[in-house]
Amino acid sequence: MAEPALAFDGLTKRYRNGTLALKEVTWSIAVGSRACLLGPNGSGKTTSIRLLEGALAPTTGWVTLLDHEVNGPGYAEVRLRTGIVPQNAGMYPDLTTSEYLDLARRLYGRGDLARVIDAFGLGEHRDKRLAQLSGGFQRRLLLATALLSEPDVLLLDEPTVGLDPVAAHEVHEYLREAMQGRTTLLCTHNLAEAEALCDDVVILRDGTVLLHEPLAGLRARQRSRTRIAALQPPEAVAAAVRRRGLAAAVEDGAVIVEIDARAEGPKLLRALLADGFDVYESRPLAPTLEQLFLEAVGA
Amino acid sequence: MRANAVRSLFWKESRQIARNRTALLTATFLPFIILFFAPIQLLVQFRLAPFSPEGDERFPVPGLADITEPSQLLVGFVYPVLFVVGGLLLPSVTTTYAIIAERERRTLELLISLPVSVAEILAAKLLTVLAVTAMVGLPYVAAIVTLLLVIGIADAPAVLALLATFAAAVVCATAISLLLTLLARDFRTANNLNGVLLGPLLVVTVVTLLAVPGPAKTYVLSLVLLIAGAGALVVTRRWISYERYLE
Repeated sequence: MAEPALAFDGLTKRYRNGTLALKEVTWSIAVGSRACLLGPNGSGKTTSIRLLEGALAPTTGWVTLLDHEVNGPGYAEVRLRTGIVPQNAGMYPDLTTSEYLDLARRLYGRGDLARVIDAFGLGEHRDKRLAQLSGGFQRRLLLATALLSEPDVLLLDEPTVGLDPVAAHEVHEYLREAMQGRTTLLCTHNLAEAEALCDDVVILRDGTVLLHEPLAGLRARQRSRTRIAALQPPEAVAAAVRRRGLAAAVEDGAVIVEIDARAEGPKLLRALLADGFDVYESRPLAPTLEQLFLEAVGA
Repeated sequence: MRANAVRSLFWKESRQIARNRTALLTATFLPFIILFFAPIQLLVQFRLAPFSPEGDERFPVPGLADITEPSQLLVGFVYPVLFVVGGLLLPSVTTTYAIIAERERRTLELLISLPVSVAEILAAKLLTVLAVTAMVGLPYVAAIVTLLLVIGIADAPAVLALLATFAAAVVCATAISLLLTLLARDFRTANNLNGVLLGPLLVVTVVTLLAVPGPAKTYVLSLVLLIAGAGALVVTRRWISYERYLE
């Protein structure tokens, strides 16, 4: 594996109230990769982000960011190269957009305020108090803040949660551009978002790593499926498919057959047409991340 | 701890405090009553109805044994107590606002997404509290001690001792209320804890002033308050973490 940008090594995190959030997890993502951290509620996603930002200390084990132990020597410098979008953070009712961005610029020691204000369309809102901004603009501000210093690493904790579809789409567009060339860890519930923006998947469940691999590899391991639709009732088509020893299921008025569309599809289609079925659709189905996720977590 | 980070956060805190009318009003009303109105009223009363302890009628405690004039009682006991009360009450309002508001509004989560440490955040809050306290409290204290000097009730060493007492009380209260406010979950608990803090510190103040003889008693009191404040700071530094602050 290439040099890890962030890594958890045998890490356990138990909160002071006794809750065990992470159990001896070991995983890492390489420099330049875009990984999504998935998992049901309480699986340890936000705890992982907070460990990386230094807000929490591991109970046992280590967490490193750009080869430096979090909160250890050199971490402060590494932290200046990391942009973070927090989840559901409160907004200051007594600081304006430009004041908050200016605070971030002072703390990072660099950054072009005019550039991010322009890039994220915050110009008209620069004198508004943070708490007065709409949800979409608050999220834009958080992204602008995270990207102000041109960081090498982006940690995004549920960047679109609670947004309406239009605002979420806008944030996705910003994210797509922001993640180019940057190591990114996207913690999300939104599987479509993860699928659209990430290459690697880390799935947590009950504080353990259930799965960690590239999305493409995960897809490749799944059985290929082909959707076939005909003018005849799908039940009849499915029965014809089963007669040839293939597994078939009826879904949404079509038949889902577990075959590789390229390798076995033409032969099956010829057979169905010979049987008199008027097939008008035959297409391979890529498993969605949602299917992969549900399969991985055993739901 | 990075000086630049503390400076930047101090800038943020100052802006926020300046925009909070409730905190500002409370922070300016209290010192006016305790550090200006009450001392002036007492001064007038002592001028109008002076007492004159003679011979065996002197106070039977070491701290007041050498008092022969009303002005000595004012400068050696009454004003130090008032300045300590003012110095103890003043920072607690601002500290409570600065610490609890951040937690209650969940803006701490916003803050920790920036490259800052919890020590830098607290250092900036501490400096802001001290600055606000100095700005609203010092003018009143300065006016009173100047008045004492002008009308000849106190000499320069006595005035310096009074100023030291006020400064020590402010430092002590800031440090202790920082610790208590971090322990509290909300504004009400923080205010209650800070109120409870006043009692023991006032007892310590009065006992010290009554027990230590001579003009050194105010300096001894200042030292006691500074030690209490330093102790609170050490405990805070060891105890506090983002995790505890976030809870």
